Formats: sequence, C-alpha cells, structure tokens
Amino acid sequence: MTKVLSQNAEFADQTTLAGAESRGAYDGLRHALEQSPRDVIQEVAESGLRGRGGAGFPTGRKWGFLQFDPARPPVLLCNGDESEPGTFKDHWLLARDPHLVIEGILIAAHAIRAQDVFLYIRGEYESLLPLLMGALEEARAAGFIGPDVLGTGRCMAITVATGAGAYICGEETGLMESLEGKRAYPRVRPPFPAVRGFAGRPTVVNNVETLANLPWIMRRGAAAFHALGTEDSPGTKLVSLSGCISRPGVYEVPMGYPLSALLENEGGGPLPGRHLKAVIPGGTSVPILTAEEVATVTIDFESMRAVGTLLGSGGMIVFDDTVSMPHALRSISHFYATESCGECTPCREGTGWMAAIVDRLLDGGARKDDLDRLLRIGGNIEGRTICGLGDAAVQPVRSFVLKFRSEFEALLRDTIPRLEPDWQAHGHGPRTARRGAVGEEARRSEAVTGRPTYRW
Amino acid sequence: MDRKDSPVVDVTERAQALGAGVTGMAAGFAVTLRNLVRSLPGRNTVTIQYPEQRKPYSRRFRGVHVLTLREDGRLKCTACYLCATACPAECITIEAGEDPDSAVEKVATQYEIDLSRCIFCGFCVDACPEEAITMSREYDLATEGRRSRLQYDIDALTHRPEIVAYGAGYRPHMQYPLVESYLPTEVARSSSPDDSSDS
Amino acid sequence: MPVVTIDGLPISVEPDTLIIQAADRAGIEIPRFCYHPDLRPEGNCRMCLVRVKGFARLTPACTTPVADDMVVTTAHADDEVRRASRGVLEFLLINHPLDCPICDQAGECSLQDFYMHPDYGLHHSDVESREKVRKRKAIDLGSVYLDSERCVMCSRCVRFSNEVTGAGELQFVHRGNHVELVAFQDRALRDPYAGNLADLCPVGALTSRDFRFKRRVWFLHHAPSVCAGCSTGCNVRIDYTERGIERVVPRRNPFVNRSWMCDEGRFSYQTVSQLPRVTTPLTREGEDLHPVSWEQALACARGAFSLPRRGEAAVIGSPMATNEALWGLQEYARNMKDPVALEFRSTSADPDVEARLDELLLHADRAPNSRGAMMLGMGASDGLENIAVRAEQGMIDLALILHYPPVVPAGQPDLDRRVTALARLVRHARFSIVLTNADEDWWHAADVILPVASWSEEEGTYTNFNSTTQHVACGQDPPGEVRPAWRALLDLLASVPAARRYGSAQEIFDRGVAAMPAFDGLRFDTLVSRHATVYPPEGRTSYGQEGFAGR
Repeated sequence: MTKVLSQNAEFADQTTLAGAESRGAYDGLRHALEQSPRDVIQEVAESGLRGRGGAGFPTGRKWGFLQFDPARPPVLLCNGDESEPGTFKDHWLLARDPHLVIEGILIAAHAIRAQDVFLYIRGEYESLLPLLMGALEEARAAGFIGPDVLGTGRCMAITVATGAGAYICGEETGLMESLEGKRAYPRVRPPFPAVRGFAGRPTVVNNVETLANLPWIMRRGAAAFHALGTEDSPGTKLVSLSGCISRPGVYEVPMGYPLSALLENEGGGPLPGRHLKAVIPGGTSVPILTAEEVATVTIDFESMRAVGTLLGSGGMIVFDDTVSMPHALRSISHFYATESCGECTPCREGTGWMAAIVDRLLDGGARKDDLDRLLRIGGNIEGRTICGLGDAAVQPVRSFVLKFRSEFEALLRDTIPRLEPDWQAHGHGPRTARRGAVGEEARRSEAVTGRPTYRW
Repeated sequence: MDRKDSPVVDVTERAQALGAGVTGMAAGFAVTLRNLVRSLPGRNTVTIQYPEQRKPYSRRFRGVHVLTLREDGRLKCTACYLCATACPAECITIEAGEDPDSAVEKVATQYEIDLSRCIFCGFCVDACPEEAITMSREYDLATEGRRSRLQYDIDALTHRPEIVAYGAGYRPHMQYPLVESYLPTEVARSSSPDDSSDS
Repeated sequence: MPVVTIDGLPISVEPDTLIIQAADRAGIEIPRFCYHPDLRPEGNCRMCLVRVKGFARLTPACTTPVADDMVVTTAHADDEVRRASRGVLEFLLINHPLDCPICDQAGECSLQDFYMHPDYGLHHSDVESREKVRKRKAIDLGSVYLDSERCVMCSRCVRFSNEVTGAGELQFVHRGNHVELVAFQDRALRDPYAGNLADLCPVGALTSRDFRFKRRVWFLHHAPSVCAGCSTGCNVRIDYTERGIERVVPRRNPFVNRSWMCDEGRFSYQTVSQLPRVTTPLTREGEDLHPVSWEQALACARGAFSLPRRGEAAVIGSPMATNEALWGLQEYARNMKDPVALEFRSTSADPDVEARLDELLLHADRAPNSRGAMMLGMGASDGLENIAVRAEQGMIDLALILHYPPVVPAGQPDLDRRVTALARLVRHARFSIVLTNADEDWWHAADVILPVASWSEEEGTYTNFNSTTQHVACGQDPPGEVRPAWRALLDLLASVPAARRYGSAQEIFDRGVAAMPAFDGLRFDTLVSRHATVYPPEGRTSYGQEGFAGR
C-alpha cells in the first residue's frame, strides 16, 4: 500500500532535518516555489485532496475562495488542536515527522500567499513543543522559513500557539478567537473566515493531516494522488484506532479500505474471547456503527455517509460485547456538556441536560419517557447552534439510543425507582408543585440526600 | 316604557292550576306555624344569643386575613405584590425590603390591609404563590370609629391569637396541608413581647 | 432597495438591514434576547431563528442581512421555526430559578413575555427545581445587582461594557451550563454608565440598585421626558407612582442618546424629589415674607409692573427653564417700558453647550436648555454679574428672576457665582419678583416669591446642544400651589390682552416660540409624535426634520 503520510514516520532520525532531508523532505516545497501560487492551488484542486479535520471539504476549493487584498494579507492557520475524543493522528504526525507538517504548511502558505502562519496546537500537547520548536529552528536555519524562503524573496513566518485545553478551540472561528487572545467563542457566519477571519484578515484554516499531504502531491503530482483511494475521496487516511482492539494505534490506509479489514488486519481483531459490538468511525461526534454496519462500510467519505455516519477525523473507537453502551454514552455526553463553550443557548443548556438525563438513567431517578426526552432535546439542539459542537453532541446520543435502545430500556426497567417529587409526597396538587423554584428548597433537598443537585 | 305598550299577561289560569287560593294560603301558613313551634325557646332555636353564642362557620369562610410564617417565625411573604395586584378594592399596601437572609433576599417590611375597604373576596389568597396569606374565620370587626384599628399591619396580621378561637379560614387547595407555611399560632414567636396581652 | 418578504409581507429596506430590523419595521414580532439595536449583533441566544428560503438551516434574524427577493418565514408562519423558538425558550428556562416573585424585572422580562406567548411558550416544565444548576445570586456590583441564576448569557451587558463605554468590566467565565457572568472579584462597577446595564438586561440578571424592591413595574405610570442634567438632552422615560418618581430610564433616540443615559442623569430625579420646596406664593410684609394666595401675590407683583421707573428693569431667565417659560419672560420684557436687561447668562459670554465631558454622552454644560435660551435671544444684555453691579449702583428698579437649582449638583463651578449675583440683585433692586421651585437663602430679600414647577412637573420643550428641540411631558403633579413657570408668567401678564390667548404649553410653543426666527415653523405636535426635531440654528436656507418614530 502506498503511504503518503507515514512512509518515513518509522525512522528515528526523521525528526531531524538531516534525516528528513535524506528522505526527500522539502523537495515538495522547492517544487511548489517554482510554480505560481495559482498553479499550486490548481494542482491541489486537481489532486482532489479533501480536508482531514472532519468535514472533508475540498482543500483546493477552500483556498480558491480567498480574495487577495494587499491591505489585508491572508493568514494561514494550521489546526493542530486535535481534541476530538478518539483522535490522536495529528500528535502522531507532529511527533514523528514534524518536517512533513512544516513543509506542508509552507506549501499552503505559498499557495494562498500568506506571510503569517500560525500552527495552533492543543494545550495538552505541550510536550511536543520542544521537538516542534527544534524542527522549526532547523527549518529556519536552512532557509525554509524566514524573510527570504530559499532565495525566492517570499517571506513566511510560522508562529506556534497553544490552546489552553478547550475542545471548542478546534472549531475554526473559535480557534481564531483563541489566537486573538479571547475566549474561544465561535463566530457567527457569515462573514466566513475566507472573507474575514483572524484579526479581520482573510483566513484559511487547515488540519495538520491535510497539510501533511501537500509535499507528496507536490513531489508526485496531482494525478498520482488522485489515483490513490476512491474517486471522490482520493489519497490515504490516517486512522487512530483505539478502544477494545488488539493493536490500537495510528494506521495509514488508502481511502476506500474496508473498515472490517482495518479492524482485522491492522487492528488485529477484537481482544481474545470477545466480539465486536460497535465502532465509532470518526471521533465521538459522529453516529456510531453497529457490528453489522461495520461489515459493509469502507473508510471514505461517501461510504460513511451512505450508512448515516461520517468519516470525521478518523478517530475510530471500537466497542466489544463487554461494553455497556449507556456507560459509554455517559462519558461521551459529559465530554460535550463540559466542553460546550456556553455561547449559544441550545448547546449550552441542552448538552448539560442530556448529560444529566444519561446520569439519572444510570444512577437512578430516571423517568420512563427519558429516552424520548433525550431524542427530543437532541432535535432541539441540532442545526440550531452557532458552530458544529451542538450537532456533534447530539449525534452520539441519538445513535446510541436508537441503535442500542434495548440496553437503555433495560436500564429503565432495572433502575432505582425515581424519587417522587416533593409535592406528591406531601399530597399536593400541581399548583404547589411548581412553587419550589427558589433556591432554598433545592438546597434543603441537597442537604437531605447528601447529593449535589447536579453532578458531572 | 309606556304602560299601554307593555303586554298584559293574564295569570288567573295559572294561579288556579297551581292551587292558589285559600288552600294554598293555608298550606303556606302551615309552614310558618310549624317553624314557629319548632323555634320556641328550648327547642331548635334558629336565633342565637350573639355574642355569648357564636355560630360555627365553614372552613372555607373568608374572614380576616392571616399572614403565615416560616418555621423560624419570620414572615413568609416576600412582597411580590401579587395580592395587591389582584385586589379589586386596592386595600393592600406593601413595602418591600432586603431580607437579612440572602437566600430569601426580599421581605415585606410593611404590609397593611385596610379592612374598612376590603370586600373579603379572597383574591389575595388565591393570588399568593406561596400561601403566605390565608384567611381566618374571624368575622366580628365592629369598631367604634371609622379610622380605628381597621388598618391591619404586619403585626396585626401575624399576631393572631384569635385564630385558635375562630379557626383558619379560606385558602385555595384546602384539601392539602400548608407546605412550609405556618399559621402564627403554630410558631412560637419570640419577637412579640405583647403576645399574651390580647388573648 | 432590496425587497424582502417576511411571512408573505413584502418589505422594502435599505441594503445591509438585518432581517430582524426589517421585521421590526414591518411590525412582525421576532423574539430575541441578545439582539439590541445599539449593540453589535452576536446571534448567541438563537431565539430569533427564522427560515430563509434556500438556506439549509434556520438562520438567526439578528445576524443575517437582507438580500433582494429573500423570502423569510418566522415562528408565526412556520412550524419548524416555532419548534426552534419553543426549544430555545425551554432551554433558557430549564436552569432559570423562576424566582419572579422576588425579581424586579418581573413585568418587563423577556423570558416572561415570550413564555406567555402561545407560539414560544406555555409549555410545562420538564425539570424539577432540584435538578437545576445553581449559581450565585444577589451580588452587589455598585449601581446594579447581579443574579447569575437568572442570566440567559445574551452578552448584551458584556458588549455594552466593551463596545459602548469601553469599561470592559464584565465577562463570562466557565463553560457549558455553568457559564456565569462576573465582574472581576465582584468589585463595584466604576463605569459612569453602569446603570444602563439594568435596562439592557432582557431578564432579571442585572437589576438596578436604586430601583431594587421599590415597586413592581406594572404599578408604574410613564411619562416621556428629557433629562435636565446636561445639554445632551437624553430622552428619558419617567416612571412614577402616586409616591412620586420611582425611576428614570432612557428612551431610545438614535439621534441623541441611542439607548443610553449616564448615571448622574439617571439619578438626578433624586435631587429633584429631595429639593426643599417653596409651595405657596410669598409676599413681603415689612421684614418678613408671608404666605399669601396666588391672587394676592400676583396683584402685588403686577403693581410693580406699572410702577413708574427711573432706572432699568432686569428680566433674568435660567438655562434650566423650558422654552415656554423663557418665552413668557420675554413676553414680560416686551410689554415693559424700556430699558430692560434680558439675560440668562452669568457673564457676557455664551455658555459652551457643545463642550463634551466624555466621548459618549455627557456635556460640560449642566443645563438642558442653554441652546434654547440662546436661540430665543435671552442673552441680550451683558451678563448677570454686570446687572448685579448695576443693581448695587441703584440702577435697577425691577427684577424679575426665574431660577432653578441644577438637577446635577456636581460639576457646577458657575453656580456659586450665579447665586451670589442673584442675591446681590435681589437685595439692591427696588422691587424683585422671584419665580423658583426651591427654598433657598438668596431670595429672602425679594418682594414676591412665586412657586413654580420643577423638572418633571410641567410640560414644555428643551433645545439641546445640537439644536434638537424635544418635548417633555408632565411626569407628576406639582406639590402644593405650585404652578408651571409659563403659567405663572402668563398670570403675571393677565392685564396684557395678547397673553390671554395662551392656555397651554402647546399654544405658547406654536404661537409664541415657533414665531421666533430660530424656531420658525416648528410644531408642538411634531415634537410630541417624533421624538426629536433637529434644526440648524443659523445660516440655513432650508430646514429638514429628522425624527424617530420608533419605540
């Protein structure tokens, strides 16, 4: 199988410039600099490269939206805020082949004529910083970065920025706000980043993996890249395999590779004595696949869409028959409830509410219509938020409940009976039931039950 | 309307059909006579000797208002003004203030019902979301002057030993006990020095 | 101009108008929390979601500009939009404490209003009180109280603080449904415009400290007025009850004050209501002033009018007075034998009505009508202090003085000089008539005192720094036997036949003030119906009217 991204990742000296250059690093950049930016964009568009961050938007088209205005020079943001649960490919790439990423960034910066480039990496990836800064320093000393890149007169500067550890910083407009030093509240679109992004300048945001594809495309040409993978999803995909699987890790497979083959060959199958139950194919933000669906699906954008899920970031989480789906959902929905930035109403209130309902399904106190309530709340969040986090939070809840409903219903039967509301215990009518909204009653019930009224 | 315009209805036939006449009159007076005999002193007298005797009234009787208290004897009312808003006679005057307990936040510092204007409709009690005001069965409010003592303030409305004698009156949801509200007689109030003087 | 169709109604609006603004103009209600006409739209509450034909998702009406041939449907006509609005309102209420009985916002709360609307609310609560997220309550931030539990995170206050005043004192912290509005370390806000936060807040999260627990808002009566604190002339609404003024809040006027007013102006009503008042006419009997009836006082004053004179008469106005009262003074001067010194200034220099104290609203001239007095030609002499000097030289026979203490006592370097000059004038003029609303020492040497109405007690007009003439409605009845100044002046002139034509402030304005060249052609009705009428004061060949007929 042809490797685009991980061909040199196994070499120990690949992190050094000398090692990387001995295996062809920065050849793609030299290639790109010989061409005009317009031609580079054309080449990338022809290669059919699609964004690897989750949405799968064609990269060449994204760059084409940019209007060059010398008064507001464009900015390139490389999104390394890999916060999607189950995804760790960008870290893997940055840790093993930083020069590949840097080269990709420089090619993209040349293509969109950006002088200012920001590599935004997740706050938790702090340990990568020394390696990354060392690689950047080497690249700068070798003249790949700086006021005069390889004697072409092009000026490119790469700034590495780290987030403070918020999922929302991976959202492109949230990332810009974070870079500007503000609270990472996503922005309302329009205006789109290509028109008005970071610091009011036209901005392109690309994922680390997307940009890492560029050197190969520049070296081998768009046609070679397009020949890889499927017609609509050319190239290869880095897959982060985790969960109940024998050999978890990062694997590069061509697009269109069967998911079941990945699990069996690369992943080594389920743990001994266990059976596959389900797979989340693209990070927790996408609907889960049951074992039957896994058998039919291949790793590319179209096939995933056909079974009602998304390839997303390629963070595949495997569940086997020992996993309780409600418990897994609890952990996922709590992730979204704590990571919701709190800017817009449906996501801020809805994610917390869904998490609280999943909690009471497991802890007791559930109501018999809670599953329908979960779906109803999901319907009120989906499509009504500023950014995609609301939708992302709904997908797992809805797919878990719909595809594994029997597990949730069993929980509902076996659950500790719900504490009757106070007014029923007192024999009061509904009018007095609604009285207790004022703090004291809740605080009192908290004191009695010894439980906080709300738990994470 | 002119008299000749009004239709004349002849009721003679109907009266005869109903047996009006001497027999009817006699039947009517028989009722009077029967009750006269029945109410002779010592028998089931309808008239009572007020004020020595008092008639028991319904639990739903709408008499003088009572402001209920919290468990610790503080006023339940948070001065939301819903009673004053609902009052058709506009006889409730409230002033709100900061409650020392930050969990309560707001409390009525002045609460006055002008009973000389009150029509005892009970809307205030219906309007109260917290059963902070209920009614008692106290009804004898006669005073010697128009201005004397009919403006009941917080003290008069909470310090009500009369409730024991008259009993609690109307409030909505009477089928349920009060929740977290206590009638003044149920709470020992340390802050009322003249507790015994009126009883 | 683009034509947008909202719920089947075609509306023609300027390009870049937002859908919500177009709907507002057409009278189609779109519910909103975060949108405010004078703040940058943020689109975070999601209450104003509408369907735009051709858009895949529902889109917020407050951030989407109209385009030609756009077709929009709102919750009134579209089931999915209605479900979205209902869903958002339900989300906003699940963690809301529902403590309306102790919340000052109750009655003017967007959450209440939308909940009571069948399209968005009236659902049954799906959560119990003990399941709600608890936050901090009743945090004292100086001029406002913060209640985090009631907050809907619309960020109006944050945007106001960052964008309008630049104070930047408020921020959100935490994430998810634990997001909370905070001021750094709960310190009192130092923003001199912080009072606006309480008006701005669509719910009860930020409530006014001054108005806290005073009255439920549905007991308030309203009177549109104009702040008398400085020459800006911020449009305000006086909320009063039978007890007097309960609060003053800004009225929106995009040409003058947008939606804001400063805290000094906001609380200036307290100065007015705490003013020691003179409530009956007084006349001099020997050494003392004695209360008399209006008829007696007027007869006494009128006697002076026809007194044979050797020297000058001084007619002194006040920049605190309405145009109508000032016109009454002029009418008095016109009907008097020369020479007459007509004046409202302390010195011979005109007040600088356009000097600003900050970039937002405040002006240095702490009187509402200096421009009006100038436009009426009140400054026709050489300043009050020079008149006082002439009085000391025995050259002033008669002094008619209209004086009000300022409603904002701070920052009035001129005030002491003015009062001193007035005292000298009163002491040395042969006969002096004082029209005032305040019981002050300086006029104790006067011969006749006529009590007149304070700000908020009389109808009239003020003309602000940029020559915008604005109507002031009567907000409460004046105490005692107090009369509006224009009425008192006309009563003084009862012997002059022309003066009898005027029975109201409106008649004075239309027949008197509007006849002055600077006000030429203005109509009182126009001032009442349009919130502002701007006139270029001088050098104009034609005039235009700019009005604002919005809410």
